[in-house]
Amino acid sequence: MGLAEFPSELIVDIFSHLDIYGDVRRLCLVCRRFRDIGMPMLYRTVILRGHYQNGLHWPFQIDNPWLRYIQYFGVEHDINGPPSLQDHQEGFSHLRAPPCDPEMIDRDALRFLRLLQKDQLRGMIVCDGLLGDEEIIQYLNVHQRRIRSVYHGQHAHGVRRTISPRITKWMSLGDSFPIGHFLRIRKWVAGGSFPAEWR
Amino acid sequence: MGLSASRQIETTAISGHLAFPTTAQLHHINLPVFRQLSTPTAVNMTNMKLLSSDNVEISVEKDVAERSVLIKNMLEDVGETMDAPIPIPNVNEAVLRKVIEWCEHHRNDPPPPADDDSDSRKKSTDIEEWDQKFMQVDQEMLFEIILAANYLDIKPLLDVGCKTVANMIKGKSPEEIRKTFNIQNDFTPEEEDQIRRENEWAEE
Repeated sequence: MGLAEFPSELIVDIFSHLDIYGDVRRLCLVCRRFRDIGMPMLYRTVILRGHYQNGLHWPFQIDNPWLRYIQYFGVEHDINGPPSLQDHQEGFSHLRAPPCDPEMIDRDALRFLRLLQKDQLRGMIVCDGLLGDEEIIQYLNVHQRRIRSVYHGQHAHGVRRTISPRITKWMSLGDSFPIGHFLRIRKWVAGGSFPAEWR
Repeated sequence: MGLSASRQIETTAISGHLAFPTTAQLHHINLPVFRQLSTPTAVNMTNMKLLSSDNVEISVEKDVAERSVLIKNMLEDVGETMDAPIPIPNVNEAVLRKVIEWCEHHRNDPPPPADDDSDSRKKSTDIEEWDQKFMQVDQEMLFEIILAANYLDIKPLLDVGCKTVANMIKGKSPEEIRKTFNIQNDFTPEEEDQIRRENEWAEE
């Protein structure tokens, strides 16, 4: 029996031993079977990046069939946040640019959240990107009632991020964990992997 | 080395029986109250037989075989004494011997942490040296070991197998992965392109 004929749960087991994004990404390009198993893993945790000057770095098409596999969602806009693909391509020069308008981030985040299915999220990752305006809190309370965990991100250099009071209040609804303890959460993040000290 | 160690233990077991004839006698009298008196060592050293898919009987010490949760549960269901060989219909002799070799080497390992969400298990692709050597087999055997470990429910062996395959994947391009594992590219060019677009944010 070849690897491509393995039972799905064993393929998942093998894939989940890979820590590097690129490895799973390349697996998705091997064959249909690997794609169908690997893509949900890549989409499990998505953090939209807002430290690009033009607002949230949003690399997803609206009709992207894999969005329904997102279980953990977060937003951040720290100018020193983990580097995204753009950061690498543009040589980090834009990182000195002022962070983008926080209200724009909320607006973009809500637009994105509305693409998700009802009650699909299991956890939120709260970094310093989201203000948590009324619309977002209302959306979460009505449409994502199965969120059980809230993870608060830490600054790449160990400094605690400031979290919006509105989000803090909403966080009290569920358990909150520092993200540092959750390998799976840290593992698959849109835009790039975290710095080595987060691994 | 694993083999000679097990032989040594077998010898000890036999001399143990000779030293305690009453225990052996108690085994013949099939009363539960007497069975409880037998020493734990005597029970652990009991041999049992497995029957591979190609009909070969393999003798194995009970506590080695019980690294397999499937066999352990089976023995618990049936009761202590089991003279007939246990059929392992999914595993042939060569693979079964290899699996037993692993179980013998790891017979004294502490049980893995019970927590379900065992992130630690998945944390890295580090494999201890003995296991690395053990897994230096051809790909067919490696896959057979993984499938057998899965069937027999031997989590730590399954883990080592999966890690070994993960290590073979690391850093390879899609084409190299296809070559390594002899996998057909069944994508249309359009599909391949779409996948590239849908996960291009996922870059190291």
